[in-house]
Parts: sequence; C-alpha cells; structure tokens
Amino acid sequence: MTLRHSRLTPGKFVATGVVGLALIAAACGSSSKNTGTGTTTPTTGGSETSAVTAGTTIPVPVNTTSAPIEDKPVLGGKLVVGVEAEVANAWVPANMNCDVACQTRSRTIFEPLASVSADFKVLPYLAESIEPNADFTVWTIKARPGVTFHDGTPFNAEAMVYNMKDMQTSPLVGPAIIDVTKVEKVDDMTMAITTARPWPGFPIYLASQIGFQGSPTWLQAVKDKTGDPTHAVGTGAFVFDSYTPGQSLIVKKNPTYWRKDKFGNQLPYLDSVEMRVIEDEKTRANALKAGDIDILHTTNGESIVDFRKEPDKFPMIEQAQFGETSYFLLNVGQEGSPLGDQRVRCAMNYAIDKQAQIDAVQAGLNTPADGLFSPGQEGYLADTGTPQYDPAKAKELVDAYTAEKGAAPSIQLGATNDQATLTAVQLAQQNLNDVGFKTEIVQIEQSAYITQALLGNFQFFAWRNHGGTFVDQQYIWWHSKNAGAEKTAIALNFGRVKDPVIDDLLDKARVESDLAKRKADAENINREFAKQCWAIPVYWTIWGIPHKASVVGIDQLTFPDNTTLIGLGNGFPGQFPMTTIWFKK
Amino acid sequence: MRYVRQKLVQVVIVLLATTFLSVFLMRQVKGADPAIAISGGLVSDPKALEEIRHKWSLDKPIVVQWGRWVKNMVKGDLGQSSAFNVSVADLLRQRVPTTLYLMLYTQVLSLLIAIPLGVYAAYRPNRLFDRVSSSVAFGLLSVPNFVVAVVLVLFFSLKFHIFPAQSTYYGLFNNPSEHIRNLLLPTVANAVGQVAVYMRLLRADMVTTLQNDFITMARAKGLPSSRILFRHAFRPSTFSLITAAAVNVGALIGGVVITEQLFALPGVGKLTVDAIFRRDFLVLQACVALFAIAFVVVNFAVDMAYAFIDPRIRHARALA
Repeated sequence: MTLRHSRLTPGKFVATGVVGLALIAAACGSSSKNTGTGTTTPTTGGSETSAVTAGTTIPVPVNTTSAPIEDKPVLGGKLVVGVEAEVANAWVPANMNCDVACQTRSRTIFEPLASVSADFKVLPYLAESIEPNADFTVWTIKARPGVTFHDGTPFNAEAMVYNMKDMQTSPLVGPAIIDVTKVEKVDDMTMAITTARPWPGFPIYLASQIGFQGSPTWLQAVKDKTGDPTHAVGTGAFVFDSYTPGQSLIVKKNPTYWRKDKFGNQLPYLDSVEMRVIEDEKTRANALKAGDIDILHTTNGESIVDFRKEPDKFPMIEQAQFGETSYFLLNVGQEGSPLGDQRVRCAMNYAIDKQAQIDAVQAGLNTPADGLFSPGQEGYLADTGTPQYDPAKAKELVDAYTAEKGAAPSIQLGATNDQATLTAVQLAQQNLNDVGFKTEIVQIEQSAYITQALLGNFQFFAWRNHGGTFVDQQYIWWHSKNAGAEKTAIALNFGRVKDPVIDDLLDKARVESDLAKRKADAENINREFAKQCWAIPVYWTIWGIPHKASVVGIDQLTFPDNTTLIGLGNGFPGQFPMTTIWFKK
Repeated sequence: MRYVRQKLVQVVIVLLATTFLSVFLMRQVKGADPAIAISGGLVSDPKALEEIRHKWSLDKPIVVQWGRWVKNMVKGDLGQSSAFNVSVADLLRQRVPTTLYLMLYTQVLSLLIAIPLGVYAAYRPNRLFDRVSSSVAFGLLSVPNFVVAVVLVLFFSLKFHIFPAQSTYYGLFNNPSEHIRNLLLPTVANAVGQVAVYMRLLRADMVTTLQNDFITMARAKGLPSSRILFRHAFRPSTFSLITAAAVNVGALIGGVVITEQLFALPGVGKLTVDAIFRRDFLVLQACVALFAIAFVVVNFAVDMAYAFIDPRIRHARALA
C-alpha cells in the first residue's frame, strides 16, 4: 500500500497538543485489515510482520524504512535539527510536558529502560533484562552493568528505583502507572516493581518517558534547589551542553557512551547536535531549504506535499501507521457545560466538515478519521458509527437543545498561536455557527495549551494524540480514574470522560492476555466513543521527516544486541533518534 | 537641573503607568489563572495554589499586586518564568543583546542610507534625483516590514542561499561573521521603512536651512558645497531627524517584535509574543517594562541632546 498523494490545495493545518508519555507500543490486534501505510522517500517499503505479546503472534503491518547500515560511517560534524515546539518544565523527566519535540530532544540525553523491536516485542534497552512473574504482577528489572550517568553516578538499582519513584509521584505521569503499588531494590543491580493486578503490557511504559533514566544525583540536587533542572543529566549518547529556552538545546558527543554499532564503531557518530525550536511551520521548512538546518519534523500537509516534490534534494521519511489522530478534544467535565449533553457533542460531529478541514489546512493530504484509533492500531475500525457531516441533522439537534434549555449552546474554541491551527478552528467555528452554536475563539501557545488541557481549563481544543498500537496505551487518556477528582486537579483524561462502558473495557483489556478478546474490547471502545460522541475525529496524522540528502543513518538505531528497533516513532511518530546519524560526504 | 528633574519625574510616571497597564491587562486575559501559570501548570492542589497566590499577592487587589511586583523589580527580582522554568532575569539577559543589536543596526543602517540621500535631494530640490527618491521613499513607506522580510527570505535565503531563513543569535565577539549574517536580513527588513521617513524629514529641513542667510553668506564666501552642506546646514537641519529617530524607537520596538517572529530570532520581541500566548505573566510584565524603559530613556536622552545640539534651547531653559 502506498500513501495517498492528494491534490495540492492552499492552506495548511497542524493539529496541536501532543502530550507527554511516549507510550511506544508493542503491538496487538488480530489479523487486521489495515489501510494505514508507511513509506520512506526515496527508500520506500511496507511489510507484514508478527506482533508477539504474552505468547500470541499476530500479523501487523509495519513501516520499513531501513537501508543497510554502512560499516564505516563518517565521524564528526554538527547536526542542526528544527523542532516544532518548546517543552514546558524542562528537563526533569517526571515533570516534562513531553510532546514529540520534547521526546526528540530529550532522548539524546535520556534513555529508556526498554524499547520496542521491529517484531513488536518490548525488549530491554538500558536495562539488561525485564522479567515478569507467572501472573504478571511482579516485574524484575536488572540494570545494565558498566553504564554511568554523564555526571559519573553509576546506573544501578538505586538509580532505577529513584527514577521510578519520581515517576510514581509525578502529578503529570504518575497516573499512567497508577497500578504500580511497590517499587523496591532487590540487590545492587535489580529492581522489582509490583502491580495491583496482572499487567502483561506493563513493560511498554518502560519504553516511554516513564522509563527515562536521569541521574539521581542531579535529580536530588534539583529537589534540594542546588541543581539546575534545565541542565539535564542522563546516560544517553549526547551530553548536555547548553539550553536557551525557546531557542535551542545543544548537546555534545558523550565520549564515554556505553554503546557501539554492530561493526564496533563507537556511538554516536556526530560531534554535536543543535536542536532549534522553530514553531512556525513555514519558517521551519524554509530553514531546511535555505540550509540553516539539516532535518526537521512536520505534520503540515503543505510542507509534506512540497518536500515530496524534491525527493533527491530532501529525502523524507513518512510515518502514517499507528499515528496520532488529529481531532477536536471536548471537555465534557465542566459543570453546566453544554458539552455534557450528548446531543450537543453529536451535533458538533455532524456540523464539522472534515474534508473541508483537510483540504483547507492540510493541502488535502490526509484521510478523514472515523475514530480515535488510527490505522494499524488495536481497535481500529473502518466504520465506527461516528456521525458524518450532515449540517441539517446538526441543526435539528441544536434546535432541540436550544428549545429545551432556552439558549443556544455556547462553546469557547481553543487554538494555538499557529496559523494553521487557528484556520482549522475558524473553519470549525463557521460550521458550528451555521447550525446555531454560539462560539468564540481563544488562542494559547502550545506548551501552555497542554497545561490548560491538563487542568481542564478549556471546552474545545484542536488536538493531536493517541498514537500507539496497544489499546492499553490509551488507558491513561480515557479511564475515569484519570479524569481528575477535583475541579483544579491535573488530569491526563483531558476530556474528563467518565464512561462506565469505556472504563470496563479498558480494565478488561489491561489484564487480558487473549489478543482476540482484547481486540474486541478495543473495537468496542471505539464504537462507544462514536456512540457518545466524546470527541470529534478529523484526520489521521502523517508525519514527515525531511532532511538534507547528506544526512544518513536516521533510522539505524538498534538494541544493544543489534536487534532491529520498531523504526521511527511508532506509537509516538514524529521523533527520530540521533545516535546513529552521520553526514555522507 | 530643574528641567532634568522634571523630565525624570515624567519618566518615572510613564514607567509606573505602563507597568501597571501591563499587569492590569494580563489579568483580564481569559482562561488563565496566574497562580497555575506561575506554578508551571504542575500544581493542582488548591492549598498550594493558594500559597502561590499569597506569595505573589494574587489574592490582593491589582494595585497591590503591581506594587509588589515593582518592589521586587527594583530589588532585581523579576520572578521565575512559568513556561521555561528559569528566572526572568536570566531570560532577559539571553534575549536583550539580540534585540539591542537589531535595533541599533536598524537605526545605523537607516541613517547611513537616509542622510546622504536626504542631503543630496535637498541640495538639488525638485530635480530628477529628488523626485525619484521621493517616489521610492513613498513606495518603501507603504510596504510593511513583514512583506519586505518575506521577499528578502525568498530571494536571499531560499533562492541564493546567502543568508539564513531562520536567524540565530551569535555574539558579535564570538562569531562576528555569523553575527552579521544572521542579523542582516532582519535589519534590512526593519530599516527599509525607516530610511524613507528619515530621508524625507532631513530633505525637508535641509531645504529650509539652505535658504537661510548664513548659508547665502557661506556661498558668497566661496565655500565648497560639501562643506556648506555638512558643516553648516546639516546640524541645524537635524532636529526633526533626531526627534523622529527617538520617537521611532517605539515603532522600531513594534518592528522588532514582528521581524523576530518572522525570522524566529530569539530576542525580547519574540519573547514578548511567546509570553502572551504562554500566559507567562512575569516574563510579559518584565518585557513590557523593559520596552517602556528603553523608549522613555531614549526620548529623555534626546530631550537632553537638543540642548547640546542647539545652544538656544540650553539658554532658553536656563532663563526659564
């Protein structure tokens, strides 16, 4: 299968807040018919592989982008990267509001305990081994020997316990591992994690932000107010050099990095990396074309279509599988909000013209989304029952609501300061006003946008989230446990959805090791979302990573034993590792 | 001295008013609880939020909040950026040089181009050069700096790859060539409009000056034209130019805010815009105060400079 090369239309759209937690997936789902595909330009591929979880094998399509690694990469050089946003609360792993740009940058310094292989197994990365007990309630994790943090602190059980406890108590990421009940040191190099119930898919969380390992010496100094939270200290291939908020993060080669490539060459190859924050899509694309930067990431349709025209000059890796859904996030939890009424939510689904959004702001690139599970994901359905564009039906529902309540539903629409997002929201506003809604637009910068979502200070946000492969990865976003008990509480269930049907299905899926049953649960979650109109799906995201032709080795990172990784960003598309990048002469 | 004292009092009043307005207006922004913003969005406990409100006097009337902020500012404590988790003072220290250089270069470039053109146009009024330069000046005045910036990027960055499309700040003494290379396009984008204003003003004043008796006398003595123009006529013709240059600091601040955004140049202008969208209250207040101080101080300095340029003003003030 290939990507749909659509007609070029003016305008662009970038959905916005991708939040924290790169819950990169080990896959699941049964013999799925997927429409999602992945290509690399010019090296294109797509194949079927097996996903193995808890002893069962299932076929899942994957992106294959790798070219054979060369045994003599050119050493040295400085890579300049353009990323789309600044992170709030840099760089303490438990505090970072970590979107794609944050993941891309922070993984140069921090490494996770685990990662996901090309055959969808969660395997140890910084850890030496990760083993469950018989009923998946205790996970024993051994630290990889001989690894030290950049400040000389040894990486051992104490460090792992320190980091995991930090994550547990973090208001931001703690809710994702709410089922972890005990974290303890077993011996100098071993940590044991006990969970409240069987959790076969737990290791996937160790491949995310939750698995990042920061130096406990540094983290403690930050807590004691003697350390600088922005001066990150990890075990990664690059060492922190300087950070100018809103401008750049510069990292330098870690001369004592613990990894070599499969030919025995010391990693990383580059001398340094400068990661510049260039929020404006057009400026970022222009910066690559002008030669100011070497590589960037984008979901902007116009940019992707544009770079596709110059594959020799700007080869581009595209990620269209397991990606995020661009959608309008609705906060249904505010007291007295019209969004608490199913008719209003469904009316909004009927009112918004998805194809018009895609044409106007994404250059017609993407496919309209029928649900929040993107192609390839466990739970994906071609037809979920989500209301399709029908303004007459929308008006009917709005009129009924207005007649009953005595006033038209009034909604505040949130957008970031990015022009494309604003355009998308303005289009939605027009659609909604046409059927009788009263709306106003409020603009907020992306990192603050995420914070406002965490706090529930919104009604309607243009949003981008829910990449992944396992349905369990969506647990934190949709279970009512994470919907925030108090008015001001931070909640990763941003929409404050409290649906007992979804709760029950998510709970069943978490402990389920029968993949067919879990897939059925996931599909039912998808249908329940459609029935209740909890969100307004718009399109499935495609990430483009265009780069100079001289930049190679982008997708060559492997496990320490040279097992192939899942590739770029599955479960958290848009990011790319820099450990194996080098410049072709 | 009395005049200086009066001016200083005015400066202080303007500064207090602008900072108060910035505090007041930011509190009117919808969807933003300053306590949550100041906490970096990580505090949800109502008690903890209450503590933050108390610490920053957010539970007090706006006048008290502003008073507290001014008091801390005078002590050098501008607070912590909620978005970046670093002190506001550090952020400003990083960003101020970029904006200062950009403004300085814009003024210098504008004057370097405008002065010879204005003088020559006045020297030969209503001739071809004067008419062409007038038309070009009006043309340049009508083109906003963001349009100039886009055109410059299109040609010099994307087509010819001479200058960066996305500028980065390099220290003048650390990397002089990259410093100039990265600041040149934003400088030109800002300077285009200024050149036209300065040139027209200087030309008009110069034409008047050249009709004075002392110029006729100088000509009668057979002094060369260049000497008459630059030694005798130029200085008394610069009042409007100096006033415009000073008042233009305000316009320049506005211009810098736009060009820094367009070139993703990390200066105070971009920081200000980002702070608005990030609801980063303390950073915004500091930026507004900084711009206000810059504007007021420059205008104050110009007021003082009048006396230096024209002894008649000095004497008149002395008599008053």
